[in-house]
Amino acid sequence: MTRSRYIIRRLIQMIPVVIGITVIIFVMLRAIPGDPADSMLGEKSTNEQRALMRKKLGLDEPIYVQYSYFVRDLFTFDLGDSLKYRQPVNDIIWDRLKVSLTVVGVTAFFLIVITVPLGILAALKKNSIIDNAVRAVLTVTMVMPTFYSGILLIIIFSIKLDLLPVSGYGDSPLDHLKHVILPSLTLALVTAPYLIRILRASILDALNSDYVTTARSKGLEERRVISLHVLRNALIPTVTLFGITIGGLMGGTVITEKVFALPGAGALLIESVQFRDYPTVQAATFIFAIMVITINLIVDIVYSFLDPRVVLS
Amino acid sequence: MATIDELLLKNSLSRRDFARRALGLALAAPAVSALLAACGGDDDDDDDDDSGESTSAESAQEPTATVVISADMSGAATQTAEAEAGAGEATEVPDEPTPTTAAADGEIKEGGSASFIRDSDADLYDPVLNDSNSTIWLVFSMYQSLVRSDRTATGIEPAIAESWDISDDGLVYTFHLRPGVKFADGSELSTEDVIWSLERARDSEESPWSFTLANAADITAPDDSTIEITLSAGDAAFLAAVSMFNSSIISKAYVEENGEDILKDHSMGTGPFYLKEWAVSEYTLLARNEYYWEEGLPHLDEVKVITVPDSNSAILQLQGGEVDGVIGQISIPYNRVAELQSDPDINVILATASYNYFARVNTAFPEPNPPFDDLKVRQAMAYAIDYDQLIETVQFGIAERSTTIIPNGALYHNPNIPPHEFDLDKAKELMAESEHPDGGDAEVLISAGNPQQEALAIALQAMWKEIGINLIISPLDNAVIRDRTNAGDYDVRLGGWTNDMIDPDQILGYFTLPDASDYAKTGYSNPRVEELVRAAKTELDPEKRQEMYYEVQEIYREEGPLFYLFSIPYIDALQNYVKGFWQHPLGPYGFVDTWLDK
Repeated sequence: MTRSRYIIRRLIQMIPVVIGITVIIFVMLRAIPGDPADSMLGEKSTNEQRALMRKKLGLDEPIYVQYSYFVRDLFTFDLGDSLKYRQPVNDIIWDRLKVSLTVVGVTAFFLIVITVPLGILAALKKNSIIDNAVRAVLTVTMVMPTFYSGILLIIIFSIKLDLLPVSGYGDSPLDHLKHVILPSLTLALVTAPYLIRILRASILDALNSDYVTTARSKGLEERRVISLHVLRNALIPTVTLFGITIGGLMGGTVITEKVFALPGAGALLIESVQFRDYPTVQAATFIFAIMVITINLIVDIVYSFLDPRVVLS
Repeated sequence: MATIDELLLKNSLSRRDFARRALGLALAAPAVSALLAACGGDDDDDDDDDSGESTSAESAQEPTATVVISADMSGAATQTAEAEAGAGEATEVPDEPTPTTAAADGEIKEGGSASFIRDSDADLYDPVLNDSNSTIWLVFSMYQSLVRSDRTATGIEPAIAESWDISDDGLVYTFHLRPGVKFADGSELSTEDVIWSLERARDSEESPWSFTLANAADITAPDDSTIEITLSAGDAAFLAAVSMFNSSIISKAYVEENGEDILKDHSMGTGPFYLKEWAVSEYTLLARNEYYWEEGLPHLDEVKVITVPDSNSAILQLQGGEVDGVIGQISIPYNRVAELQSDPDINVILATASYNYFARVNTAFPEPNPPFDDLKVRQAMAYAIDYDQLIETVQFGIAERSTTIIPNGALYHNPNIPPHEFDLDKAKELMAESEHPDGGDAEVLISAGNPQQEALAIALQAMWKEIGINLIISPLDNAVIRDRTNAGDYDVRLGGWTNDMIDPDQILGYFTLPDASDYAKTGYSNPRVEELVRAAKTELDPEKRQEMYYEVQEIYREEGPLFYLFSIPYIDALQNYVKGFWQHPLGPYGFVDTWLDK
């Protein structure tokens, strides 16, 4: 099997997953108590007024009919109007998503910059002072909640050193970048320790393997042994975890968004669920699902380069 | 006895005094009386004993309607009454006098841009469609109505209309428009704009507020500077309704040119500012309306209101000098107030608010809900609450006692009703006399993750346990709470209320009548109360209305489904150089008078 066929097969496998996710979201949203009519009219309303509103929103129709409308709208890329903000869902989500994607991108950058050198260093200097120091510091940042480490970073970099803005998202692309550095660093500090640990362990594992002994015995210089044989094999589990981490960051940065007042998609999703803003929740979860699946796909493709055996099997 | 509300209103309570009082509270158990002990004048000295009773030499000091509410800005501001309830002695601490806005007239610095943080963003800025405090409180900076409420929220004063007449039967209101009022684009306001705006507010099906103008049957313009509104029925709250945000006058031409949707994120009103930019969830940028009709106002060129949901981050930015202030209803947690008050660079304003906080029980919605349908049980519960302790532990001293359904200091609030007593013996006695001497379970629905409600529920649980009421605490998502409340599937709810109009017709219509809200989902109906509330709505004689509303408050306090817990001020923390800022008891911000002394 060629790599392109492998990718196509993985793409086709995505379809039922996406359908499954939309069905689950759709049904679950309607199964939990509270609906948009309650939220829109609040308690300053009578049962009749809320019944009228439900009718207006089409919530009195059978759930499969509502679902068919949802799917029909998906194909026309019309996700409807947000019930909370009374604006097209498309506009709202893309604005927020841009912020989240920037944060995720910069976090990924920090993760790589922190993880790879420290992981290698810790593994190669196993049990040295460096190794122990790296592990000790990371244990601390790992258990620190983001609302705490975020505030610490603000105090150090924004208030004391006055290098970076405290919160918000800024006005220009360069400004955006400045605004997401601290939130991204906060997220990277929490997630990097796991990656470093797994990279260190897999490097140690690879160093003890037969192929490394072989490579060394045929006289390869140590640098080539590390970069060609050890790293390539050790990266496989790290890349998997990296993919999962990044996928998790897509919608899972609510607390960090709150601390830094970032208008991201995570906060939007929470607000919308609380309001029972069905169109926004459905659209946001749908987009998140697609993105997480896409990241998994990318991870799989990276895999196929690192380890050609996955294509063949 | 002067209450904190009144004192703040009169500017005679500076934040230092409040700080000292709050400190006193923290030190001494029975000290809430100290909170109520506020009194004073520049020269004042009188010490309060620990009963907290104090003089109020100044009650009549500033009777004008438009006093500046914020404490440190005021000239009359100093007063030294001090109550250290714990020690049972009073100390005299002279306050350094601070200049008033008025006194500083000559030195007001014009221009500049101010930035404020608040915890939540608006939904949409259309004055007719919006429905959240975070929106409404800013809408008043962009728009004006024919009339507006004065700064104490107890009277109506001219705005776009410079005067008005009411026919003897109370059915025809004639408003005389102020000449030369202009929108933010420089176009002149006409009667057409007024008619269009009010009709839109009245007829909008999407607006949650159209009921306020439902009586305005006919809106016409007999000439270019007069608006005549004929009511379908007498409505004593009509002027108050016309002063509300949904009655804002919007430029008809602007909307015709751009479509109604433009109002969601743009403004075209006659207010001191206009909406220059709204970055949803980030900030709202207001810019000065060059054509504003009040001479010399506003002082600022721009006001940026930034959304920062995390209070730690917000306070950090204030302390670090990144912003000029933190404002809003719950932007500053109560447990951080004392810390900010002790910061010499920061001025904490505790603004008089119509923020009334209750516990509400389901007596009969949709069916009788024993044991809470039994008046004796409810009265026992009211006596079993140690209100002062709640103010100390839940509110960290930042509240005073709420006494009736109409917020303290609000129009027609009955000042003759004393705060409810805490008397456990009496509570037990009442319980024994009731039909449910053994008490029973009560489920309270609280908003998950809301520290104020959590602390309150836990405290009430311990207090009511004494009389056999077993409070079961259910932390839930707000949508579930609304759903279950609307279905009557609850026993107790905790929550606050802020007036949206100065007239009590709104809050009483909501709680005591079945029309709009099924007696606010408590099921408690009282024919006498209903009769009075309906009669008061059409009664045009203010004295008779007052009598009716006083009686309603008495009955509702004795027999009703509410326990009155707190009257909570709005907390605004500003840099010392921010001058002239005020917050209206209904919530709107006084950016119009704000300037920066730097």
